[in-house]
Amino acid sequence: MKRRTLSRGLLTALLFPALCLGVLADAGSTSYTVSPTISGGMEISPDAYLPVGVYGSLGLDNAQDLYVAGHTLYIADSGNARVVVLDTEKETVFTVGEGLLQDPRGVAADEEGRIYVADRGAGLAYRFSPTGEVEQVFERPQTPSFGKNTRFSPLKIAAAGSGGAYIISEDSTTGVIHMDGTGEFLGFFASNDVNKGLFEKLLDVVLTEDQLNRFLPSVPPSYGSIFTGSDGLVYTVNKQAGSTVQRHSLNGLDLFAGRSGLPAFDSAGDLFVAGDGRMLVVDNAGYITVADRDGHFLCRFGGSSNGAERVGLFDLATGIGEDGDGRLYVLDAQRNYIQIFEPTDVQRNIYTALTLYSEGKYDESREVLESVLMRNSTSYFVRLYMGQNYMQQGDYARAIREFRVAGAREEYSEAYWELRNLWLQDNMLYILIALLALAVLAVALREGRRRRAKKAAAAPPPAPKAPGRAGRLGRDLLLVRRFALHPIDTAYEVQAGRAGSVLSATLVFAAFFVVFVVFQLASGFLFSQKAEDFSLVSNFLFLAAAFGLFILGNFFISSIQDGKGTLRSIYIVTIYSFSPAILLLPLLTLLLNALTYNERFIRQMALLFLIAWVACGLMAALIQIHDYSFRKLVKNLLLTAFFMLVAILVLSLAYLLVKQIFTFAGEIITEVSLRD
Amino acid sequence: MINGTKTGKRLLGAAALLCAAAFLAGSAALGEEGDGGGAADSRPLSPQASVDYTVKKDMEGTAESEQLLDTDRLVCENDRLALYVDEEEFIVKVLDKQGDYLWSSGAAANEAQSMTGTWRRFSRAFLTMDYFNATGASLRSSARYSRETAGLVYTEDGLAATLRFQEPDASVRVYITLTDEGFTVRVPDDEMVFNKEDNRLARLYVMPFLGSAYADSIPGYFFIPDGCGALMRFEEPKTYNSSTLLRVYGADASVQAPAAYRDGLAPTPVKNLLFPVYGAVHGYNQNGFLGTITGGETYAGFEISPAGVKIDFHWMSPVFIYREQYRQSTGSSEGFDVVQQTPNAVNAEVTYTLLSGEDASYAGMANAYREQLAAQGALPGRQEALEHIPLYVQAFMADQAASLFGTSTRVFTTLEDAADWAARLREAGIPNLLLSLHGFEKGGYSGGDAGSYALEGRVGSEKELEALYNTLNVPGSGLLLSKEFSRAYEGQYRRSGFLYAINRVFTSTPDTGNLFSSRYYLDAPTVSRLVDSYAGLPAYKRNAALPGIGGALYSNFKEGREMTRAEMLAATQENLRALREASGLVALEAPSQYALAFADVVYNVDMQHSRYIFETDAVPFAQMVTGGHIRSFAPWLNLGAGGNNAVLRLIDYNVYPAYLLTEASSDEFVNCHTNTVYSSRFDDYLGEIREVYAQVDAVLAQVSGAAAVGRSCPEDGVSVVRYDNGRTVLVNYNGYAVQAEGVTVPAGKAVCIASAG
Repeated sequence: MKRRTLSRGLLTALLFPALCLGVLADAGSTSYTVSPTISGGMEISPDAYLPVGVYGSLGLDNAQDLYVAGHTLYIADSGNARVVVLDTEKETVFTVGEGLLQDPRGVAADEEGRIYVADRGAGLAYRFSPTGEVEQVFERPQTPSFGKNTRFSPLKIAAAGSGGAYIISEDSTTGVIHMDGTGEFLGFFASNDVNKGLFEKLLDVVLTEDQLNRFLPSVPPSYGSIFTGSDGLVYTVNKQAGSTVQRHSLNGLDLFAGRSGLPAFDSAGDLFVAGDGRMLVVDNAGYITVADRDGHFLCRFGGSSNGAERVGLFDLATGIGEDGDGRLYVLDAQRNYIQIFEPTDVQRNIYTALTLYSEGKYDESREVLESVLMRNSTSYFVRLYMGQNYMQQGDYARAIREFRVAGAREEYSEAYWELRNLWLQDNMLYILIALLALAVLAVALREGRRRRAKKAAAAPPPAPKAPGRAGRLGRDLLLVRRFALHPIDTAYEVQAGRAGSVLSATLVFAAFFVVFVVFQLASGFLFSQKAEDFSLVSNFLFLAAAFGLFILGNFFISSIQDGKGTLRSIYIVTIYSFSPAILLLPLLTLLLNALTYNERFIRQMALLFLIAWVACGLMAALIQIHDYSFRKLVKNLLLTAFFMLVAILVLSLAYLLVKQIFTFAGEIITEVSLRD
Repeated sequence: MINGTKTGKRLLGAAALLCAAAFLAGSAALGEEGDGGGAADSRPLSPQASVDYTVKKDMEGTAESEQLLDTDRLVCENDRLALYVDEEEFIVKVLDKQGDYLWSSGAAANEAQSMTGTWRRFSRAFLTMDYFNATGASLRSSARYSRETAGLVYTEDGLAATLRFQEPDASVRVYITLTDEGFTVRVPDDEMVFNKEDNRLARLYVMPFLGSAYADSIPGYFFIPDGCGALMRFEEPKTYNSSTLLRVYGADASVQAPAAYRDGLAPTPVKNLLFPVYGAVHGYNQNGFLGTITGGETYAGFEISPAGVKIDFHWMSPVFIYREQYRQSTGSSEGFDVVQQTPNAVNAEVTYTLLSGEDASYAGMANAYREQLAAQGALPGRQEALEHIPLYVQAFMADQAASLFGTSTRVFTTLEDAADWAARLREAGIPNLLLSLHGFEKGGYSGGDAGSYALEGRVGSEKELEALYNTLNVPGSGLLLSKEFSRAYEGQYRRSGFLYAINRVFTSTPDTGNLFSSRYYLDAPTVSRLVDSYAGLPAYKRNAALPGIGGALYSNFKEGREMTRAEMLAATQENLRALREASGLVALEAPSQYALAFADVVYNVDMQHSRYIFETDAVPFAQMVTGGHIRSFAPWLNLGAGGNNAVLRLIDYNVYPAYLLTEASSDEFVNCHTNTVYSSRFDDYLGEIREVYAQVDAVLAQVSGAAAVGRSCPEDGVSVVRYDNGRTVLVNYNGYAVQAEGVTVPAGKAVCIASAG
């Protein structure tokens, strides 16, 4: 170990002039900060951190990892085969492992200040004392459980308690290597799953094991970074694009599994977990992401310098850490310096509010959040936590309002469930009375109808009136109810020309579209789409195209298959088949306004029921108008579906072809005109 | 220092010396703080000791002048200066008799010895060029001098010579003229000869090592006109990767398309170089020069290289760009590299003004440059002093938002609201208000036609607008309509009026908004048409706030309507002149030098530089140049990170507060196209505005109409700004009280006193 205490002057010499920027709340950042907003997207928000300085002359070479504990920075200085330890408070710097380490790629420390180093070059990991003496060498385990051919090439490392270590070996897919303080192999910890898409899953079924191994090797992604949190849990993140942070329980299970909304990374460079559970990740491109302890996306900033030597941007970021004052340190292996970021007041307030919330000081937490909200009125996260605070205090009405503004549906559902529960408890007596009154009313109405029917049966029937055009249209429109209940009879009358018309069917289609739109937009906050995300035109075009293709396809196919249905009758019965939807969707829309996600199965069941009803009605009607057997109808429908697919394919190909021709011709003309 | 990896033994020795020097400097600084009260924490990582715009640092020491050599021949001289030339190598030297300091176009021979051949030639050559060869590769060649072929001509006030470039087989003639305050270097385009047609001039560096310094051997800095202004102090070498070329008036988006946003993630745009100037100081308040690009400024830039980029010298050079290389897209992701066919008409000229004594500082440079601009009529006349400073409020009225039926107009602020604000601000003790209406037109900000001044019906009526105008039509106040004259979203103007980039696509810049991902630029004739329509507006619509115009300067490559950057500059000035004549008040958004003459007010001014790592200090050069002539307003304070430092910096830089406000809360218009206004509700900010205004007005009202003529930093976190009306402003950024100029400045406060003497 080489230790020296730096004079103030010498430490100044280590720093770039940019460090002299200090805390500049008004300096502005060199990158935009984005965070989730109440619109549902990621948008530019107030600066979360400002770049305030650079450690520029530490003499680093291709430094690959950074660990921060308190005010001490541990740097895996790979190119110089050593670990640099810099105490920013005491202003001392010393090196560890010089002459011993070969290619240190990962570094960590434990609460006692012992230093853990993953040395890829030597194929060993080390534990050093706080003063830099070797305490333990972690060698490749020789036990059979480690595997005969498993490589031991330590890349990243984290303390595992009692002097033990979690080690990520290069390209290891079997999980994190867990070793105790004496270097004994305790087993693999938290192996990754293989991410398989639908196609891969399909191939799994079709191919033999041998073929799968040859064509589709099932190799789980390897871990890119590991960190032991102050909560004793182990956090990892993969290198693979789209990876999220995993928080492992003591038996290795990912506690974030199945969670949505976790920030994802293209190529995670390093992970750090702060004392309050916040997770900080830097990816190699230099984007720095902060998430709260529950994985909520707080903000992202930084990015690639693209060759410009501006503070706050990176060429190849490989390490991140936060010191006791909340400062961030980010290591750049290409530029060989460490950049320092300071949280802005707004960001510090968010962290304060989170801490207060976790301590159960909900009023104080909300007060701080309100000050943040003034500076960032569109923040999803702040609204979410405002709602969470109200929830904890049992103020569900206010919680609902906040969750609604935030667009936090799951949380809204929970608050709504609580509020509805309270309401039901308070009003149960009135509800029972109302139900009883309704039942009595229903019985009375039924009895009245029965008596009127009896009376009418005794009287002579009135002379039938010839319906006018308007009367016929009105009657045709009323067929909706009849079609829903008696599709075969109605289809027969349609076929015979006694009921239905192209105009009435078109109007029914319009009615269906209106009901469909209302269902999409007015099924309550939990089950509706946002109006601004819903396009009337594209939905109309989609439905019209689907109906049109089916009707045309069915007409062509049935023409070949001796179906008796005319284009008119197919058009009418296809549209009228959706009568059940026209009748029941408004009721379902109303009902959904009273439901929470706990009862979402009701929506699914109701929709399934409706689809089945529509399908049965359509099939019954088609059997009637084409005079088909059931078997022939099935064949007809399959061929119709095939026709639709082919039509879509042909139209798409034609579109692509024409587009390609135009693009190609355009490129030729451009290139000829541009080249001399 | 930990073991260096790249440096040799010699440099290690030098580094040890540097560290020792730094130690001594650090100790000295500690001593000083101890005298100053001791409350400051002086650790380098301590926030209190590190405020970039007021760091005292080591300003001691004298810059030792180079000595004249036997080979230096006196060309001419006047009372102040003497011009010499080294006839062996053609190194031009100017002796400033006031400071007895010799400025040399090349690095000293003994210092140049430490460099490799290429760098040695570069450091000693009067001119260096980058050229494209037959294959389009960019190569560098430094001028070589031969007395036989130079055609050296001495005149009464200077000399002319032809310099040869061996590799590209080219020659260039230069003219150097001594003036009363300095000297001028001229490189005419028509006296450049390329004997091989395949070699084409790309860039020309003029005296790249004038003002250079080896590591921290000279106390001093280069001045960079980046944003508000930046210094690169001469410090020990660091691990920088490359030098940086910054273009005067910013990059040309018609040549170099800006990078697109990815989910809003992107570096913030670099600041423009607002002025075609640079400078160097050797010895604080001892010797300096201001270099002004007086010919070819639209194709000029500065290459800045701190010690540590290949060599251990700090150097900064004017660069003239004759040809660009760009990627020609052929419609898909494919494309090919093309070298610009016709060279830019540059006719490079740099005029140097030598400074000495108190003037040898960035403040001295600002004073000299302000005088130059005023003499040329490039600045408006002096402003009247106001009893109270004005506040600038931009009211965001309406914008387009996605809706069920495509898009619709959303209104966040009405004229009634704006009138109410004006009244409440008056009640809050803010008598002077410049109120700019943004997105007032039918369809709102992103939906209004480029040439339309018709009010969005739900914003208010013409009568209300006129009434508001009349209320604010008093000295120090005004109602302005914010209108884009130079940019348009798709649908705001027909495409035939859009600028074309060099690779034959529309010139655009990326936009983070919800509805449009790009914003297009309008060509000069279109802008001229829009300006013409302006003259017919009633008086209450003719105060103009103009974002964009006067900032960006882009060429047009549309066939038949080509316009160079220089022509665009002239056309923009013509348009601004017409607009100036047709309007009452004109407010420009962070304009470049060529537009300053047409502005009463500038807003959204840069308060920071681009934050390159080599930029050691931010200084208010831009504000000092315009001070007394144009009122400057800050970027919207409600969208900044805020804090007391931001307010103190307004006072330090003589910049007035500005806010972008709405009546509705931002969460109510989150789906609008403009999605970067995350906090703007008037009611939320009224209290803060009152406090900030009172704090700034108490100091800056006393220097209203005056120009800052000196700025110094007696200790870390303290700035002292002297004005030409006999007042001095003291700003204390520290968390403890300080003594300066004989008065106590409380922690985090600013005061204004009568200047000493």
